[in-house]
Order: sequence, then C-alpha cells, then structure tokens
Amino acid sequence: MRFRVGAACAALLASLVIVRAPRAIGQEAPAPAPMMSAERTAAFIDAARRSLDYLPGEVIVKFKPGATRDGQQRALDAVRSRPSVDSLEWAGEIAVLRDQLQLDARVLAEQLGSQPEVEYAEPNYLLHHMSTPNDTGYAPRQWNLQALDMPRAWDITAGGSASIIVAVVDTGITTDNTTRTAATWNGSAIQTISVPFAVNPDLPASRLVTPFDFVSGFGTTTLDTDGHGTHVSSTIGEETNNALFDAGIAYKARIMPVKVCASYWDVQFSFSASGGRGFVPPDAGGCPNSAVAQGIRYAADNGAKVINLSLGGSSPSTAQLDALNYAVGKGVFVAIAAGNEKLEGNPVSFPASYAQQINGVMAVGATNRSGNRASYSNTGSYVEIAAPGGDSRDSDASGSGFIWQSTIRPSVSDPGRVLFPVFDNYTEVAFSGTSMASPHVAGLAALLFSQGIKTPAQVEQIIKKTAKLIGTPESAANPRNDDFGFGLIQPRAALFGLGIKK
Amino acid sequence: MRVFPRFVLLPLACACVALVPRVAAAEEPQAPSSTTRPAIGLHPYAIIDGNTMAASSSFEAVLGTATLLGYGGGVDVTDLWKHLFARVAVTHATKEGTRAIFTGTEAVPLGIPLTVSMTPIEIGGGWRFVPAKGRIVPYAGAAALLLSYKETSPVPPADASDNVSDSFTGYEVFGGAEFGLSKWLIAAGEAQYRGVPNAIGDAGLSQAFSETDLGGFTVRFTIGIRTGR
Repeated sequence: MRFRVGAACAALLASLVIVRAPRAIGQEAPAPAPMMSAERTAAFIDAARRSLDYLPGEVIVKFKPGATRDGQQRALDAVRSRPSVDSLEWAGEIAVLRDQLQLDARVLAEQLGSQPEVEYAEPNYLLHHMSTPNDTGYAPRQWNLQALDMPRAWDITAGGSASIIVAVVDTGITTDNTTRTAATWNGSAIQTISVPFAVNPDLPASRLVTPFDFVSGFGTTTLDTDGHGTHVSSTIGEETNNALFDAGIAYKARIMPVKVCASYWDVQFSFSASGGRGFVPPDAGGCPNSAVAQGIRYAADNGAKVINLSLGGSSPSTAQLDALNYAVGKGVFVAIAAGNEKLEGNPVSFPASYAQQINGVMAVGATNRSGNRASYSNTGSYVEIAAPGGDSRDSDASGSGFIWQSTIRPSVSDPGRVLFPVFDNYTEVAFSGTSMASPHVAGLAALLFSQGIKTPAQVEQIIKKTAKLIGTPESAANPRNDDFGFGLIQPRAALFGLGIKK
Repeated sequence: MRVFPRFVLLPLACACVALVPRVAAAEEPQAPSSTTRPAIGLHPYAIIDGNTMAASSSFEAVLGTATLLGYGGGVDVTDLWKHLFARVAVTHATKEGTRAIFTGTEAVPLGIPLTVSMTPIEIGGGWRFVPAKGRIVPYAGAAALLLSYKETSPVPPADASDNVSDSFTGYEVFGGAEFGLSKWLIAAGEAQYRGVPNAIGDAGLSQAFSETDLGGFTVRFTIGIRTGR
C-alpha cells in the first residue's frame, strides 16, 4: 500500500517534465486543465481501488481554542512522521494533515485525537454525489415542476431575486468558455489533448458569482467535468421562459459554483499529467470531507443565502457538523440529499443526518413521478422533507420518470463512452436521485428568501408547515414519517401563506 | 374611511326624516290632555367601534394588531314599553395586512397583501335606566349578530378560491351610558362582548392558533340625535 502510493507519487513527479515539455514547445498551447496535487491524485486512486470511504493518509484536525503553536506542534509530534504545523493545509479553524507514513487515516485520526490540544481529528472522508445518471437522450418532461405547481408559485415570486445567492457545493459549474490542455490515457499511451469547456447557455456566466474550486484547481475558476453540479444547478435556477432546454425553480437567483468533488476526469487528467499510465478506476473521484467543509464555510462567508449539498457518505464527521452550524449561524439555509442507499441496507447518510439537529438545515428524500417514495431514497428519522427525485423504476423507456435538466452532454463526456472528452456541449439529461430532490428544496428556499423571509430556521419551518404529508404520520403532534419527513414540498403554499380563516 | 359616509349618513338621514315632522308637530298648538301616551323615541346615531378580537393571535399575525376600528350607524327605538328599547346597528371594519405562516414559535409575514373586512349587523334591545333627574342614562342589553366576513388577496397571486366571503351568526351583550349634550344631541359610551363561535379555526392561521371565535370585546362611542323622550 505504502509502496504503491509512493511509486505513484514518484511517477507523478517525474511526469511533470513529460507533460510540460510539449507545452513548452507547443504553439498556442491552451492553459492546462486544473490539476490536483500528486499526493491527492494518488489518494483518490488508492481510495477507489480499495473501496475506502476516506482519502488514505489524510485527516482533518481541529485544535482546541487557545492551543498555542507550540501546543499544536506537540500534538503533531505524536504522529510518527512528526509533521510541522506549517505543513498543514488550513481552512479556517480546521486543518488537513497529509501523512505518507501512515496511510490508514483512522489510525492517524486516533493518534491525533487523543492529544490534549486536539478538539477532534477524523479521516478525510469521501462523500459521493447522490444521483444515478441516465443518458437516454429522449425529450425532457419536467413532471417534477408540474407536480409542485410551480407556475402558480411563480405567480407569487417569479423566479426569486438576483440578490439571493445559492451555492452549489458539488462538482462545479463551468464558469468560462475556455480550452485547456490535459494529459490522459488513450488506451496505450499518455496523450496530451485539448479539452474545450463552455458555459451552459441556459445558466449564463452573468448569473454565476464568486466561484471557487477546492478540490482540483484551488482557484476562482470552476470547470465541471462531470455534469452533476451543472444538473443540480439547473434544477435550482436554470434560465426559464427563454425557449431553451428546461425550467429552473429560482431562475432569477444567482448561483455560486463551489467545486468540492473530483470527477473521474479530474483524477484521470491529474494521474496522466503526473505520468501515471493506464486508466484510473471507473469510480475514481469523490468529495473529500475537507473540501466539503471548506466549501460550506466559503459559501457562507461569501454571501450565499442557500447552500445545496447533493452529496453524502456513511461516515459521521464533526467537521461537517461544524461547517453546517457555521453556515446556519451566518444566516444560510442548507438543503442536503438524504441518500440513495435504501436498497443497499439504508445506512444513515452524512451530513444529511445532521439536519435534524440544526434548525435551518433540511435532509431531503426523493419522490417518484407517481408521488411515492423513490425506491432508492433513504428513510429514517433524519429525513425531514421530500421533493421530486425521479426513479428508474417509475419510468417508461423515454425516461419520463427522471428529472430532466440541462447539463454536459454525456455522449461526449462520459468516461464510459469516450477517451477524449469535451465539456462544451450541453443538452437535457435525465438523472434521478436525492441529489435531484435536494435542489428543489434549495430553489424553494431561494424563493422564500427572495420574498423577505429572514432566517434559515424560518425557511425550514415554513417548508415543513406547508408540506403535504404522504402516508401515515407518526402522531398528530408529530406529523411526519421516516419515508417523507413532513411530506412533499408545496412551493405555492409556502410562498402564499395563510390568512386568518383560510 | 371609504365606507364611513355610507354607514354614518344613512342613519343620520333617516333620523332627519323622522325628526322633521316631530319638530313641526311640536310647534303646533296642542290641546292639553292628561291621557296622551308618551311617544316612542328614536335615537339615530353614528358609531365608532374599537374591536379587540378574541382571535388575537390570528389577527395579530396577519394585521399586526388584534384591534380593528369600525365605523357605522344605528338606531335605537326607545320607550317601546316603559324604558325598553330596540336596536338595529351596522358597522364595518376593514384593515390590510399580509398573509403569514406560523412556524410554531412565531408568525412570519410573507408579504402577500390580505384585506380583512367585517360587517356585523346587530338586532336586539335592552333597558334604559332613566334617572329621576340628570343627563346620564345608563343602559344594558343584548343582540343577535349577523357577521359578514371577508379575506381578500389580489388576483393573481390569489385565485378566487383563495379568498373568503362568508357570513356567521353570533350574539352580543352590551352596557353603556348616554349623555345628553343638548336637548337634541346625545353621546354615548358602550362596552360590548361579542361571540361568533366556530366561525374560524378550521383552516388558516386560526387553525394553527386554535382560535375559533370571530367575536371579542368592543368599545363603542356614538353621537346622535334624540327624539321623543
């Protein structure tokens, strides 16, 4: 294990020369695609190969308030590699430690967590986005917005307000029309290719604000090489009434792309650029917990009123909980996908399960086109609300049971289909998952904030109080159940409110 | 303000019509007669009501207050038998607020305009405790209420089905005192308790607050004209 990662790192370093040479002599070579560090790339690949739910050798650590630098160093000295405080990657109050000598992050976390100066230490868990892609290519049918009676909701608040920012903490949204060079594996050799990117024509750059990439490029440009983040964003606020693609819920709100999830291509490009030969595992990628926590805090610090988290995992994380509390403390409402593992044992999903502890954070389950719980949608006491998420089991061959939104065209970007992807071609794509349900709630929250609601707690309560309960309530005093929470969101009722008698 | 003239002027006009022949008759020489029955009196008046609603939480959530001002008019027909009087009165109260949601701990206004209008019609009577001398006459009584109630939001965003236009029956008991300002002019202050049970509470904010009564306490001031005794 250690050898494998060490060898990979060496190969990555060596390959920097290989990659740079053609760029140095090439004519009008485009800028390189954003790349992760060699260590981070190797960690992603290793995690995928070993089916780990954390990045090997990485822990998130938070020192106790008042811990001096000497105290922090003393705690770090408990780790065999004796890292220095300066080597930590800081993000506000938390830091990420990368240790190549102890790749079992659980052991690292235990060693660090037992030090008196440390408040907590935990593996840098990998979360995954919560959708099941479907690339049928048939005409879109937005039954989801019809089921929610959105046209009548838009009579009240037509698409919300541009003053409201919704952060999509996900695989990113492409913010520039650009072409980048990237190295990839062509089946027999590393090949440098040009990779074009374009902004979604139905989510123009004018509506994208303060993007940030915490996972691959660490910069203020985000490039979606997956399509998930773009699809989610389209549900929240795709341009509407413009005769192009589909409609979005809060189509006047602005979107903050926060990239915290590495796609397959992010890992493959970084691996190949570092001289790695071959294909990375098909499920390589994910959302490091450190990046998710950073992304949540970044969104809260930069004016977002709503955050959508269409991601999750099965490991609890204090860093996630801290970040959520931080965001709500800044007046931000957070919608989180409840998870898609109902048929795989229905494990508790994090950070969704933290929603029940925080007034202003909601865990969102998925309904299908028939209005029932989607077959995959997690159940449990932490499910607080439901929204359309689509379901292949409640669909015909045309894909009518999925959620259709505009995103990158899979036929030219899906790693299962192409060796050399392009990301400048958009179309309507059918996805399903609680990933798709969550942005419905985020969009509704944006409309409520647009209408003058002040606090995330009020948003949560309004959404709960106006939801339409499906199934049997636990009790009259607690009108919810574990399948749907308080029920299916009712945007018009939430926005219209009540009179005295009616 | 829009409806004030309608409800005030109508009773006053009626009063004038009733008053003129009586005044004229009073000016004509009358033969003294020890057997003449005293004429019934007619007291038309204008009304200003301060209504404090029993469903205070619901009204405060929408209107920001549980007190509504009402304007109108009425007429008391006095001395029907000794000091018994009958009353018919109509008032109208209207106020604009916004639709809201009750979160369980607070009512959150949503900015959708909502106009609440109430028009109670009172039909009842009471007894005037006429003193041997002095200008203050206490009185008390009771009445049946027919309450017209409306909630209206602009269309759109509201649908016609979102608005409420309904009527309910209830009751009131009242007591007050009238004060003779001059031979013809009287003012009165009155307190009422109104009950309009089960008019609300089946939906809306009143359901959230478990409030069912559209009645409450009313403080009334009137000024009017006295004819007869």
